[in-house]
Amino acid sequence: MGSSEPGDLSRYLDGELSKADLPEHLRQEAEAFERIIGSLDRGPAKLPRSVRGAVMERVRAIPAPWWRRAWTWFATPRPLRLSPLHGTLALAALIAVLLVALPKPQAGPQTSTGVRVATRFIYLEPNATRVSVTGEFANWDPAGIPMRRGADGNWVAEIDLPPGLHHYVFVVDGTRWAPDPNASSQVDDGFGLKNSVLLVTGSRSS
Amino acid sequence: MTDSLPDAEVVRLVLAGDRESFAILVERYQHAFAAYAINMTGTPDDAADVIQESLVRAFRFLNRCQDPANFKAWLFRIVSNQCKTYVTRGARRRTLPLEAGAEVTAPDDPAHEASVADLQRRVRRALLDLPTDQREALLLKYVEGLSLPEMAEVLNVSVPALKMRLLRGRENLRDKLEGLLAWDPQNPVI
Repeated sequence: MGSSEPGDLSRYLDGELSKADLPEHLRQEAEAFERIIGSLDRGPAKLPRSVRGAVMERVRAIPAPWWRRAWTWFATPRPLRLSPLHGTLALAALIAVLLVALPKPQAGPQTSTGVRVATRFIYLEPNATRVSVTGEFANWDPAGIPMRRGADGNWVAEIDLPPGLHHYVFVVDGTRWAPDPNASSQVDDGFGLKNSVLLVTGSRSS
Repeated sequence: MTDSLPDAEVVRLVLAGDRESFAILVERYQHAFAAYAINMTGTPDDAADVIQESLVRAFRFLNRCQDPANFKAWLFRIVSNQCKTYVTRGARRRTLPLEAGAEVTAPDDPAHEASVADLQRRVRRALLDLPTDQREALLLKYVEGLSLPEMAEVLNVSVPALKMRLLRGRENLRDKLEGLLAWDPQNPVI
């Protein structure tokens, strides 16, 4: 389909040509268009209301990550009143828990929080110097979980994940966020890029 | 004064758990993209909703801001995406005109009818009738003043594809505003 806009005018309006390089009749057309679109510059520069209160109210209502809440709980000084009897019982319970828990570090995929499945992530990027994988399971931390480099240019990481849907991306050289080209599906991340989606079932995934 | 802290430092504070510091960024940028959001959504109130949603989203995903010193550009990408989402989901609301009676026709008597405000209203109305991607491209280029490479980064679209969007957008806008292109607000008398 052809265009009715002369090529030089397009180049000027794309910012690739100066107005001085336009012939007179195209200059007038350019100025007419700029006058029309330029009228929007005089639009209201402010919102009709401040959104600060509403935004901060919602921000305060968002729960902090569990690890921050746990840390705050542990780090906050609080008075502790304990009778000798209760103290002795608590100490005995603690020792019992340690005795039961410590001998079983290799108990398999069952943990106190439920089933976790060893999941292998593979990403081919021979030119990268480092690659990590991040997602909801890593709190979207850009540092993510480092992957180890294989001999064939593949980067590999194995992570224990609970069954369910997981969104993730690879972070190449600490700056470039890349979806998994081999993922079964991708979703918009809301920032103009894609997240990959992985379904972890009861058996080993990759 | 914490209000003078650079964006990167404020982002660091918020990520470290000081969520009240996020108010600094809200105050700093809540109006920065007002004109863009109003032109994309069609009404100032809807623009405020979009900006509010964008700022909350920015807080929720702040740890995905890869370059905190460039928080403003990152926030703009979110605003841009939220505007598109709004336009897609809220298309029915576009039936409400920017102002009652604002039709996109050339004024019968420019000397009386054509004020700058009137021109602006007509152009906005015409923009709202364009496909979202063309409207977005025109606003970024000619209102926000972004270069083609900057637009390509914000929209995650190639420069040649952007040029095509701009060309189609200009042609569509000209079609809708044909009668106004010959009109000069500095010299409105025929």
